[in-house]
Amino acid sequence: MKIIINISKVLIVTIGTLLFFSFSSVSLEEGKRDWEKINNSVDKIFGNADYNFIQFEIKQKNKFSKYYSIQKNDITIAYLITDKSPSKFHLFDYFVLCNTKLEIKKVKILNYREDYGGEICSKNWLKQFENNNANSSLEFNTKIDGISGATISVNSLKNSVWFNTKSLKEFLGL
Amino acid sequence: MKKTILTGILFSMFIVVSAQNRAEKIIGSNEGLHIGGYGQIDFNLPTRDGSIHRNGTLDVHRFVTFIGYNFNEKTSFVSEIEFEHVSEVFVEQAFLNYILENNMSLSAGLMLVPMGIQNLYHEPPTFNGVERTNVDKYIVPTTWREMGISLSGRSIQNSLNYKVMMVNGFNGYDGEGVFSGKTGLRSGRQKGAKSYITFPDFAARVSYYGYKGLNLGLSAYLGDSESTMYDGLDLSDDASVAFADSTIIGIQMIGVDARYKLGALQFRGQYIVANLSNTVQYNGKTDSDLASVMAGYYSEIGYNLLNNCETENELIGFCRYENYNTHVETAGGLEINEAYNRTDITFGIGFKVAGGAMFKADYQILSNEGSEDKKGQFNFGTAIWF
Repeated sequence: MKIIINISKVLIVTIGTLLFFSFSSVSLEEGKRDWEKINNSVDKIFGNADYNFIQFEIKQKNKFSKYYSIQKNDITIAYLITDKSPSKFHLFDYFVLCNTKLEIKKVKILNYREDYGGEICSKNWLKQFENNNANSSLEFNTKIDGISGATISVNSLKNSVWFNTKSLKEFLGL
Repeated sequence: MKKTILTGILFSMFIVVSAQNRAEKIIGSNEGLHIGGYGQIDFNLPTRDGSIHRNGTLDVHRFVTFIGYNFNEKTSFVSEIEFEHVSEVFVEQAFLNYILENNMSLSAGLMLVPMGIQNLYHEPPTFNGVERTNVDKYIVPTTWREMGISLSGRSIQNSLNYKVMMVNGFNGYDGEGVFSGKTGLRSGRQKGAKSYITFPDFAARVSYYGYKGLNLGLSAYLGDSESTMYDGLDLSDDASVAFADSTIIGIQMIGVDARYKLGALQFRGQYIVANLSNTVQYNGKTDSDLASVMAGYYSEIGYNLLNNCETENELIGFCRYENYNTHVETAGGLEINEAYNRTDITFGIGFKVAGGAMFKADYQILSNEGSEDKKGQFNFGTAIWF
């Protein structure tokens, strides 16, 4: 006879192990690890230096988006946008780095919480956003290839990045 | 190197924006209820077989409503209720999802078994062709869902998604044999409907998406089928135990799949093999003709003819070669039935008129090794997902 595994014991051990992990916090605020990633990208693109991130507010419907001017010696050298956007069910976190002409220089996913659509975290795929300076959302969207199995997240990120960069452009009068 | 983050708000201004913010819907003012769905409505028209006429069929093949609820930022409930052929109702998914940390979550309930492409990604606008691939019907019994507990997550750094799952197995014997040589394991799905368990099975899937446009998947399933003979079994009764043991089979299923998109060009392929053990005893006890190895694969290429046009619509022409064989190898002198070695060639078009809405048309040439005859079939369908 095959050994019948005692399912209840297996379940208790599995759930116990998993609950151990659950004490780590899930935060919707950018954490230390998120800022490390943002700083690394800023250093790579704009060079190692002392930067000040100065947050400013654009009042609009989206309460998750945050805008920062990145300053070196009190001169703005870049802009940072952090935001959350929905995948099928949960929100994912991302940031956008732009130069002073508001040309996109980097888009990166900080946290992705959904089982489906995680392919949008791919660095190679995200490169398509860089220097995508389209004047209309249609042109912007058609410049970025879809990913099979990640349609909702792809569209969500495209719309959200377009919306945020457009808002910032209008705000700065560019 | 010092970085300072100043959170003081320096200046503010109103900007009127028209874009709808879905994020707020999820966690902001909305209570967290989500409604969605997908469906396919088909018209299948077989070609004449010589002078023999065959009727076409029109069918609301499936309509699935998605209802989800976010209790808070960590906890959500996901359900899908399926109406198949209008009148058959199933709960296709019903599970609670709990985010353990930002890139990892735990789920428990009725869930999809992570095997191959279409069992996980089966919303009709996501695949070419009116009907699902037959590899994902006869080898992977799509929609394959069972009760279980799973851990899933991703490593963004390494471009990997993973899922591991402890899951309820197939019903292989409930007074009579359920598996067969023709349909493999398909009839044994318990679907969470008063399902029972003796042996927990295990499933896992890893996918890699590091190269732009490419998604590679590796899936595995390991376990034994279930049998009602174990219920109330006296473990000291050797004859009864031997009888019960002959009503189950061991299952090892492995799948590799790839999806690739480069501009207008798209490619997808999949190979699935299932090794089944104890089939000699099982067939002897149940008078069935279950094989010891089943396998299937397909390869598909498609091209978006509207790629260079100023539109988000897509007109995808595609062709697919598919082979699925539920009698690759047999054990104990069981004769291989060549009619179970089937090949489908499909070519057609799909017109995506919106992100989640598509009209489809294709033609299939269906053949098997047991016969010289080839059958033809036209398929027309509408596919939606919202």
